[in-house]
Amino acid sequence: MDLKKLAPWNWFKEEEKETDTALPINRPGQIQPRRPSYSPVGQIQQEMEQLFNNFLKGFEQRGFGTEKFFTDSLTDGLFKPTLDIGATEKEYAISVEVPGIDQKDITLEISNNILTIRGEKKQEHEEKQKDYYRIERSYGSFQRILSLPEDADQDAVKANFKNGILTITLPRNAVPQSKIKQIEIK
Amino acid sequence: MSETTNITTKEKTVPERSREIPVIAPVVDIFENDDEMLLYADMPGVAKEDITVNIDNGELLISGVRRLPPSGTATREEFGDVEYRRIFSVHQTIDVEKVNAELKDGVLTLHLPKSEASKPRQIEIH
Repeated sequence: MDLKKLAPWNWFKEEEKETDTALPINRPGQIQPRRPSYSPVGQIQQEMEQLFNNFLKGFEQRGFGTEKFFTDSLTDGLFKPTLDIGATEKEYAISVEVPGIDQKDITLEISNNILTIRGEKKQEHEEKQKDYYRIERSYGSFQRILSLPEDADQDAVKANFKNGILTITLPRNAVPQSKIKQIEIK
Repeated sequence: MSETTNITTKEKTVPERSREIPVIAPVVDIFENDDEMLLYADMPGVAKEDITVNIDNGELLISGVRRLPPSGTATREEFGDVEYRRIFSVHQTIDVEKVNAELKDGVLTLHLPKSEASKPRQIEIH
């Protein structure tokens, strides 16, 4: 049996690579290259840094609510809109939450089996917005990178934007069905 | 995130639901100038008819239910069906009659104009 077929496709192969290079991650248990600390203050600072890095690690798992907002604003200036990936027999459907973004500010690219969704959310600078009480929404550039599975038909990709949700559909190419051999009982 | 949960009496104003879906507070930007308060709330995927905006007794309730079309077996789900709900206190200077709301690209925009009486006025000295 081909075990590879049973393993779920990792859509985030490429994206994980990216974040690995962007964020230095301190893994507990690993020996940190220690800077010589001459004063107790320096040591405290080092410990604080370690603590902070560990704290950030905890936010890698994203979900609803505040922690999502937190990571969005953190990854090197690019925020990551949340996305859903669904699959039926016929197609893959990817939906991305991009409220308040103009359709023309979104770019979709496929190259080397990698789909890149990127764009920019501009903050409207209007005279009428004088003072603010709260700014919770994220602004700036965003990006998501998806590795496409083999059976996704990259030439027939369709995208549609409605109510702040971008939906990308990729039809699935027919995968050769495994032959079923019937054995006659004699 | 101020999301009031004890609003049992207001449950009726929310569109009917067939099953419990998570309630989250939408993220908002709020601006103010001399003429009005301006509120933007991110509610991606919510249709216009599923949004409720209520102002009652100095309380502004915005609520919207998102029901996403099923997309087959989900291999990854970072967002799902949800009810966006958030309550704000509204200052008395807001002219409740003239509040207007629009929904575009998943963002709810609320214009809350200030009543004439509360606007800053220059008084001439004769």
